[in-house]
Formats: sequence, C-alpha cells, structure tokens
Amino acid sequence: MSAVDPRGTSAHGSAPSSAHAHAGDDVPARDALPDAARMRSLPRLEPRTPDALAGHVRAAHADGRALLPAGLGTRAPRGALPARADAWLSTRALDGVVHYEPGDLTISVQAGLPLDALDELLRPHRQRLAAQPFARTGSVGGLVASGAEGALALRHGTVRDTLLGARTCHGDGVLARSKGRVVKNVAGYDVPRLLVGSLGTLGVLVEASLRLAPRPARSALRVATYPDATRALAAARAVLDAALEPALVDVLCAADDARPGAPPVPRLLVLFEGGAARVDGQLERLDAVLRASRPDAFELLRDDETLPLLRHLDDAPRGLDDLARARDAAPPEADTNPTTAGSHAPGVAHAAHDVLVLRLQRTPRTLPEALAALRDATAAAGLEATWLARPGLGSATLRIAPRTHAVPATNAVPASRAARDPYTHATFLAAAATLLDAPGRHSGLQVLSAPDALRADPLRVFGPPPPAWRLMGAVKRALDPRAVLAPGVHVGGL
Amino acid sequence: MTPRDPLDRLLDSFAARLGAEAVVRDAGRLHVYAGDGSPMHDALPRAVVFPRDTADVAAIVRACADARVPFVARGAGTGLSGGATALDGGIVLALNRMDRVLAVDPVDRTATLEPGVRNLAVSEAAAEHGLFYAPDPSSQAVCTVGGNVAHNSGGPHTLKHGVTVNHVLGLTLVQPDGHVVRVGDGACGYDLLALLTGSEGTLGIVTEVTVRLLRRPETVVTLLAAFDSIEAASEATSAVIAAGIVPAALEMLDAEVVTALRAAFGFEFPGGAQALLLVECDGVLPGMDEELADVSTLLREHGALSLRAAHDDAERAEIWTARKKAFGALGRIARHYYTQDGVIPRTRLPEMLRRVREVAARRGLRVANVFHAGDGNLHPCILFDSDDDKTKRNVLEAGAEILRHCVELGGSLTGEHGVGVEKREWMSTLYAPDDLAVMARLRDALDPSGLCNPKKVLPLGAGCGELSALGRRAAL
Repeated sequence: MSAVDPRGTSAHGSAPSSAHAHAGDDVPARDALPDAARMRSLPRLEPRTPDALAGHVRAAHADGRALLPAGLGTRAPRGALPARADAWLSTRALDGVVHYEPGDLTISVQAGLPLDALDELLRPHRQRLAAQPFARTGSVGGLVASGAEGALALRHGTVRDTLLGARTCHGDGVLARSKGRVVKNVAGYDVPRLLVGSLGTLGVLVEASLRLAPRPARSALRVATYPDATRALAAARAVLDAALEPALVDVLCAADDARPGAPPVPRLLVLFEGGAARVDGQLERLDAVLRASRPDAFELLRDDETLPLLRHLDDAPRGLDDLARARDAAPPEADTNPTTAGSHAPGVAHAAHDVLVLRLQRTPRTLPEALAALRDATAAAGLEATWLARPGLGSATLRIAPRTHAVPATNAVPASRAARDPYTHATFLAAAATLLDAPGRHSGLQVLSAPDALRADPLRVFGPPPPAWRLMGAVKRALDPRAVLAPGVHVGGL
Repeated sequence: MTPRDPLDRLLDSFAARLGAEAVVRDAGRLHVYAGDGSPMHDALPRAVVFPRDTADVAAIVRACADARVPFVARGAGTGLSGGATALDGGIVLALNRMDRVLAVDPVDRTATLEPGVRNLAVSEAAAEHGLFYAPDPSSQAVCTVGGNVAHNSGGPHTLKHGVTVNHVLGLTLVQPDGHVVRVGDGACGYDLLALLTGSEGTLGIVTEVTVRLLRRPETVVTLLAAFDSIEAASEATSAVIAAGIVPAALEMLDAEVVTALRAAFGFEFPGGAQALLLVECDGVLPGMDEELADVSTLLREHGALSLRAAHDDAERAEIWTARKKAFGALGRIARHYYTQDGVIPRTRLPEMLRRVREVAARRGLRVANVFHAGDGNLHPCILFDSDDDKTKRNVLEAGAEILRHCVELGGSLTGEHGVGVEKREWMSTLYAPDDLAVMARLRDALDPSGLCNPKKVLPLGAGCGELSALGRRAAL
C-alpha cells in the first residue's frame, strides 16, 4: 500500500509563523530552533481507515522516519520537542462510532471522534463520559494520549479508570486489540491503559471502548471565596473529611470570569450530583462545615448554571488560560489599594506565548506545602501563578505568566525590576527556566505546555526521570522498536 | 557423599540466607503447593522458599535467574486458573511471611502493604480511621493483596467502586533479573501500574503495594428480591442501571442455587422463586431513602415476587449469607463443581444464560449460576459427581464452550479469575495473533529470560513466530 497519503500533505505546509510577524529582536530562542520551524511545515497525514493508518506507520518504520501522532490539534503540544519528526499522523478522519448499546453503559468509538460529538450521542440516553464531561474540545484519542484529569476525577477517576479496551497501532505498524468492551476483563496485559498519558509514544489509539456514567438529574456547585490559599485549602480538607460524597472539591485561584479585571482570589468549589434529595441534603451538611471556615463570600450555582465554571475545571490547562485571557482582555481596574498602588509593572501585556503550564502531582497530605513552595518560587522568579488544586487527589495545575497584578512592596522580588527593564520574551524564558531548573525538583512536577524554547530538553519538561524509567524504556522499545512514534517526547527522552 | 545437583546448591544458599525451615524440598510437603483453588491444574514445584522481605525476594530471584531456574510467586493459593503453579521444574516463592501492614495513612487514605497481607486485613487495619479497601473477592478472608494485584481482583462491590487496578497507587517490583524498582507514586511516565496489575506474576514479583482506601459509607442498605425467572431478574437489573442508579453491588443467583440453598441450609424463599437478585446501595444518608424507593419500585415493576430490605449489619449479613454460602450449598448437592468466569455485555445476560442452559443440557451436566449481574460477570458452576477422566473432560469442554459463547456475544474469557494455565490456549479465541504478539513482546521486554512464572497467560508459541499457525482456532 502507498506509504504517504498525498491529500494529507495539505494546508499546514507553509503557514507563516505568527511569532516571526511580531517578534522583533528579543524573541530569539523559539524560532532559532530549527525543529520548531520545521514542525510547522511537516506534512499532515489523515488516514481514513485503521488499515491506512497502519500503512503509514509501517512505511515510516521501514524507512526510519518519525511520525507525530495527533488528534484534532486542540491541545497545546505536550511533552518535549520530538527528537525527530517527518510528518504528523492525525486520527481526525477516524471519527466513527463502532458500537453503542446504551443498556450496557459502554461505547466503542474511533479515536478521532470529537468529545462534543460523543456527548451529543450520549445525551439523549442520559449518559456521559465521566472522564471529561464538561469541556468537550478535543478528541477521544487526545484525551487518552494526554491522560488528562477531568473535573470529576475525585469521584469517577480519569480516562484511565474508564478505558475498557482499545485497538492500537504500534511503532511497527501492527494493529492490535487488547481487552474489550465489557466492564470487567482480566484477559491479557492491559495495553490500553499503558497508552493513557503516553503522549503518542507507545502507539496510536485507533479505537477505544469506554465505560459511561449516568447523567445526574440535579447538580449544585457551592462556591466559597477565601482571603488566602491556606484557608481555602484547609476548608477543602474539612469538606473531604466530612460525611459527604462530593463529585468535585477544587480550589481555584484565578480570575473570576464574572468579575473581569479583578485579581485572582482563592475559591473553594464543591459539586454535588444526583437526585434532588441527595444534592440538597448534602448542601445543607456542606454549609454547616463551610460556615466554620468563615468564607468571605458564598454563592450557589445550580444545574445548567454550573456549566461555564465546570468547563474551566474539566480541562484545567485550557480553563486557566481562558480565565486569564478573559481577565487580561478586560479593562484594567484602577488600583485603589494604598499599599500596592503604583507598585505593579505597568503595561505588562505579555505575549500569548509567555505562558507556562505546570502540573504538580503529590499526595493530599503533601500538596498544600508543595503548592506553596512552587507559588513562592514563581513569585521569586518574578512570575505569577493562577492555579487549580484538587486537594483530595493531591494534584494541581498552575498557569504561570509574567506578573500583571499589583505586588505588595514586601514581596521578595523588587517590583521595580519590571519597570526598569522592558519585559521581553527572553525575560520570561529566563525566569521560567530558573523555576524549572531549581535543584531538588520533585518527579511529580511536569510541564504541560510551554514555549518551544523551554521544551527542547525532556529533563526540563519532566524533571529527573522516575525510578522506573529503565522499565519504561523497555516498554517503549517493545512497542515502538525503531522509535517511529513521537521520539523523545516523553520523560527522559522516551 | 554424592555430589549435590545445581538446584540443591541453590536451595542450600537460600537455606543459609533464610534458615533451613524457610526452604521446603520434601516431596510430601510440596504437595500443598502443587495447585491452587481450581481442581484442574496441579504441578509439583521443585521447592518452596519463604522470603521475609524485598531483599530476600530480590536475592532469590537473582540467584534463580543466574541458575536459570524458573520461579513463581504465590500468596494464599486461592487462585482459580492455575496461575501460581510452578511449571518447567520451577520453585515457588511463598510470600505468606511478608504479611505486615507497613502503614495506614488516614490523610492520604492509603495503606502500604506487604504482598502476603490478607485482603480483609487491609480493611481491618483501616477500620479505625473509618476507611476500607474496596476490592473484595469472595476469598477475601484468605486471599492476599499480592495475589489481588497479580489478578486485578474484583468482587461483588466492584460495580461501584472499581477493581484492583483502580486502587493501586504504587508498588515495589522485583524484576525478573532481581533488580528492585519502585513504580507509580504519581511519578510521570508510562502507566506501569496498569501493565503490572493483572499481569499474573509474569512480569516480576510485587513485594510492596500502596493502595487507595475509601471512606466507609455512612449507610448501607441491602435488598433481596425473588423473581420467577432469571429473565425477569435480568431485566430488573438492566432497569436499575438504565435509571442511572449505580448500586454498590448487584448479584444474581439462579434456580439451581436457590434449590441448593433451600436443601443445604433451609433458606426460605417464596414459592416459585427461580432467581434471586441482591442489590446493595451505599452512600450518604441524604437521598438514600429516595434511591431505595426508586430501586424497589423498579424491582416490583419488573416482577419481584418478594422484596426484603436489610438496614443493619445483622440483617445484611443474613442476606449476604445466601450469596456467600451459595458455593457451599452447591458443594452439598454435588461432589465437585468447576466454576467459570466469563464476562458479557450486561444486556446479553438473558441470551447468555439461555446458551449456558443449552450447553449443560446437551452435555448432560447441571450448571448453577452465581454471578455479578451488574458487571455482566458470570460464574457458571458446572456440577459433577464422579471424577473419572471422561466426566472431567466433558466438564472442561463445557466450560470452554461457555466461554466461547461469552466471546461470541462480545465479552471476555475472564473477569477476575485470570488466564493462568487454564485459559492460556483459549486466548486465541479472544485475540488475533497480532494482539497476542504485542502482549508477548511486552512480556519478553520485561522478562527476557522467560523464567518468571513461565507458560502462563499467553498461548505457548505466542510471539515465537509460530503464532499465525495457531490462528483463531476453537478452544480445546
């Protein structure tokens, strides 16, 4: 069969770099990388059948070329820059439904099926994909490859916990199935779950069977605002310890899209889902717990009102970005606080690529301290973090960008620095690198998205390789012996 | 003095390290370790050793690797697929002495355990913090967490709370070459926890495991409903799920079991009861009454002859007795039973049970069904009295035929018992040669020597180039 689908090599060929257009002299790093420039002009393969996809991989395996698996291209590129790349391999055109029997609460779909199309299909049956039910951008394959943690992870787990079986194409072009579409299955090794979070480096997901969840009749989202993160996190702990079964307990410290222009404040978010009696009975208990934590403000969103906020929480990297951009787009509020007025960097309307998104995975016990340390380090580097923490899961996502808000004069970093020197992309890169290259970096910290200049070294993206890295290398070689699939993208250059 | 053979020298070195009593080579005592909970798959190990910690396991494994002696880890021996039998003249590493609960962390809600800790002991250790360990295989009073990890064990309550792989957060692995490595713990990289959980001890030996604990539900209510047919009970099951209710457990017992329970223990069920459905709901008190009312209405609408609710531990224990004593009751009406572990999409339950009855009738066998209806995980028990070869063969063939029907209906060979030796060759009915070759490659990558629990899970020849010759042939 033909190796390369000529129709695939379209559109993306010579799109001019937007960075070039406005960069000026002080943005050297990103575009100096030959890889970055080349990646934009790589041919894009969009096979229409699993066999055609396998044919592309087989050919690349034979020729020693490297492919970059992709879905709809809606997520920022993850992992390190690939060591080699000859073409994108998108599953966009593989977007069919293979099998759906609502009574089984499972569905089998092709990897390119957009999550919003999937939800359209499930809604009439009052079902949903619990792994990421609210933020419906991207495809099933992208969700699996990224291993993203959705809003309901506390209650329903991530896509890892709902992936029942898969058809995958590995690095030599072999199409294989493992597991199936039943909810319990211990026949053979769990190849599907191995692909979750593999960033396309172990195989291309062709088809996935997923466990579904019933859509709840009612939902209620309690939002409580606190003066500082410590108190918000302590309140979250109290909620987790109470006799409650929340679907979500998050602390969000980001701009409030209902109050554009206001600085980020920590908000505790608690979601209940289920029948009316279950939701309202638990709300009553929750409020008794929260009153003791003395929040500054208290609001309640019900049913469809919860959706805008839940969309941000469901896909935290994007959600935090959306919230930050909404804030940045808003007219600046006059700073009336006498202690901070005039001390913040004026006019730091930083470029879109001056953003670093990190994910921190610790345990519920160690998260608050680790998060505080990371926020301190961020401030010390002259940067500002908006963040989403999941205290019950010990995880957090941080969006780090140049500071745009007033800094108290007591802060470790002299605010005058930004005023003295014009803020450039290089300033940002240097600050971000300081943060990432700090000694003693924990293996639970990884970069979710960053400018290309920060993604050249896997060590910087993922930190030191985990103890089982050698074992992971053995798995990579077994499933992609000639490193055809996204070579070098994962931890330690896997 | 006759010169001692290499294996004896190896065992001597283990005895020097562990103490003579920790190395069993006496044929009489070895018989205890020849099989597991399944009656069909015995193999006498050459020796059994009892390591005390990770360093012991690593030393033994390294020595075995050097001497090219196959080895297999074993917990309580309650497996049902022959997975812990020592083939190829191998030795058994019995992990029973590694039975310490190393830590229970009530804030992180985790327990760190040695592999020989009994499943039930985890929940017992967690109880003082109001926590429990969710996977609860029927053998939970005896079986070990090491075995649970090997088999990705389930149990009646996995419908709501998930199976072992959903609860393992980190583990210490002795690789087949004796290297010790820590896996998981939230570190980035590939999900090796998922690969190792359910790998049936073929990729290394787990010597420590950190599991997630859940909060004990505030309230638990158990319902027992009797139906006049298994079809009606199946439809009631589907109706509950379709209504968006996810019970903690949804278990079914068929007419044969009902009869056995009556005969063996004098259980009383309404006349005409041909199937029992056990539904357990757990969670917070608010909303529980409504959920129970919804479930009860659905069960009645779908023909429940009677409905009994248990609201406290004593009443609940009584209802669960029917489920838990089912296998015991079968033991009283037949000398032997052989249980299978097929899985099907839940909506195919009535069709599948009809096929099971057909297989049994054609082969002149009695089959009783006790199973996790909510998961579509069947446990057909083939009852038989004489243990002559002809009967045994008939029983085994019936089991294989039933599993083939499961595969035909879009299901799987095993939901929680594992492949082991028993279903190794039947894997070709479920998977194509390429599917198995990918699994074989993973196995070769993690155990290049092939000494770690050899000849389990994958059909012989998988990945050796002979695979395509196997094809999708029928089982047996």
